[in-house]
Amino acid sequence: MTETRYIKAINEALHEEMARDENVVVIGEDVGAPGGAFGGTRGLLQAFGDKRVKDTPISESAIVGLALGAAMKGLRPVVEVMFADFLPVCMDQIVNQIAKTRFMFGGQFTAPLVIRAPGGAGLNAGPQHSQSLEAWFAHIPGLKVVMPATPADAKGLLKSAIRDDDPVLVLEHKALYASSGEVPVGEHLVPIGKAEIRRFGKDVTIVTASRMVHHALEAAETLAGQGTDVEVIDLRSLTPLDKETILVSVEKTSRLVIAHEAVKSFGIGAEISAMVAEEMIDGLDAPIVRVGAPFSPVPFSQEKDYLPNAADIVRAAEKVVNF
Amino acid sequence: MSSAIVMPKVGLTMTEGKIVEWRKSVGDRIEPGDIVFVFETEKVSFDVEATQTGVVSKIIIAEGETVPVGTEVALLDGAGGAAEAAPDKSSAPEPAAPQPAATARTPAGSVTASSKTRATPLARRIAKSNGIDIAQVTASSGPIKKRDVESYLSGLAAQPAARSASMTVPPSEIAGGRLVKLSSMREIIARKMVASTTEAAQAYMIVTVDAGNLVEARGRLIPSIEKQTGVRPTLTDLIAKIVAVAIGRHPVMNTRWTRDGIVWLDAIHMGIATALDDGLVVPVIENIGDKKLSEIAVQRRDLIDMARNGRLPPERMKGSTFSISSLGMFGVEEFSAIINQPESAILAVGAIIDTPVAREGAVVVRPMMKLTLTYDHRIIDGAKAAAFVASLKDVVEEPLLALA
Repeated sequence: MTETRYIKAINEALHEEMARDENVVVIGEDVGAPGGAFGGTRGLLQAFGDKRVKDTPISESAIVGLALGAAMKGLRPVVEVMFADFLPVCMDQIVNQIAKTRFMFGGQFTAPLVIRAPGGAGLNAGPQHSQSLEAWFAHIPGLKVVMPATPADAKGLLKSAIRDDDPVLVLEHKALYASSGEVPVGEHLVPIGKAEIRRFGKDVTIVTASRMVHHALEAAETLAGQGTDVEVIDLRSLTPLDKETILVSVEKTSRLVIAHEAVKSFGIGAEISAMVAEEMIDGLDAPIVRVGAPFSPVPFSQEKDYLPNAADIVRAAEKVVNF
Repeated sequence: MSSAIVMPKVGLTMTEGKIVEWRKSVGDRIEPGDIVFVFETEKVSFDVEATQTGVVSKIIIAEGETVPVGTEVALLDGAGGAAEAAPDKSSAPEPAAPQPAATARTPAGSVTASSKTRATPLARRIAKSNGIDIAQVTASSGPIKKRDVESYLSGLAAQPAARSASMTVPPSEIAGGRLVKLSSMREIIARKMVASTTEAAQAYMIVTVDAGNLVEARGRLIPSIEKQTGVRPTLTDLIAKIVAVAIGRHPVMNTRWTRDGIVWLDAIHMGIATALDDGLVVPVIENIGDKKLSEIAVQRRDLIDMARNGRLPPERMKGSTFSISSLGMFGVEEFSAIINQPESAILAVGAIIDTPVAREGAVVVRPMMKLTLTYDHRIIDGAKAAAFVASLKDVVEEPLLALA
């Protein structure tokens, strides 16, 4: 184990995968000499040359379309989209083309590409650079969506995504880029579709992902002080969703809180809540409560007031425990 | 608003109750604490107390009828709030459920939203899997939740044993040791044993018998029975058969005390107390008087095998009319057993021990055995018990008399 920053872990994953497989290429705005908007592609140009590290014009739709063609011809492109907020610019390529390739060609072509994009708020980047749009993509069959919360998962999930034969959207969190954590030395793969239990507890299950994992763990500490034993599940992957880990945990605790940074309405919390209600409502001893952002764009000012935090999770857990 | 009083459920195993007496009639006004009716289960009777005010408008179930738990037995008019009736423990040897066990429901035809029991899905699942009506559970706050059902269940399970067994010291006040929750078997044993000692007038009688002929008879019977069935008859098998012969001559030993009188039972069903690793069961050899020793041996072996594997069906432990308990194999010389309710007597069989005894003026060593009879003096007087014991001694000492 070695202490590594989240962005550095991503950079290591790219170096390792490009060294391992010459078909891995990196495409995006400023991914060459500048090393990416946040430093994720630093050193790749020097190490692997400009044939495999392509700086592009500012046209997300063209970048992603290029990656799809390259993937269909046998390369394994890793696209960097500077902000997840720009994914809507290339929505046709992602939703109508990339996600459909394997299905529409009857498996004769696959689209083994990765799109990396930082989402989330916390850096006062304003309404157009701070959104959490994961639910849009999790709703599209044919895409895999992962959201690492730790440097180790950022590295391990990205490496697994690159090796996956299906298109994978890696939604990084820009406010986590500077965070550090232990990352296993050497080859480290995190399976896609497998959640991680970050804290074991018996009274209430908190299902969460990405940056909210850290708020949930902070909330769990507070709740432990009140005698409430919280289990925190870090989803890591949204699609495929690790239903089993959620259901087993809720069977144990009989109470469920889902916390995400995205707007609460129509978010992934709604999906998980519905899934649990459909599959094991008789395991529930309290209503399912969601924690999410208000139904409003992320504000530039007062961002802190807008974002759901540990105190919100504590209140939600108290509500279900005291129901 | 009118509401109904239902047959309450008292104890986990109660499925139906027989109304033996209505203390209130149509038109009577009832107040909380009034005894409304008396019902009985297989074992005991209960007085059902009102826990609310109202006027009896209709008696649905007449005296003498038996109905399932939860059946509406009467309607009340002018009942305020939730109408409930709770069995009163005062006349019940088996204590009442801790919660109000009879919950009134609005009769069909006038169901209102407020009559719906609010409970979480998990609480409903737990209630259902334990065979209880969720409406019997009281919520601590808000809707009925898991903890409410669990506390209701633990109240049902623990209370009869805990109260009747006088376990009044909270475990938290005991230093050292470890707490093992009561198994359902342990609860049943506790309840039955305490009920037996408080309910029956138990008296004891000991006789020492010469088991020489018994041992010899067994030795002679073993080869043919083993060849025939593959089972070696035990001394307990022989004694069970001999006891049945003695009971046949003293039918007072095969009786049951009831509220209305003493029932003299026709058939003899022999319970054989059997130790398990973590408890005790009494499998029953029914109609033992009609059975050959080989049949008894095979059945006893099968029942005990099932019991030790935890697969003895409950019905094979019911209906015994007399029981024997043997600790001879542990070398215990003599002991007394507690009557297995609702029987009238039990025989405790000690070890066969070579003992110097006087025979025709000389001291000889004989295989002697002590038999201790525990009998219910409500039914069996000392002289009757002595006559049974004398017959028993005769047949044990000369098993051929079983044929006489």
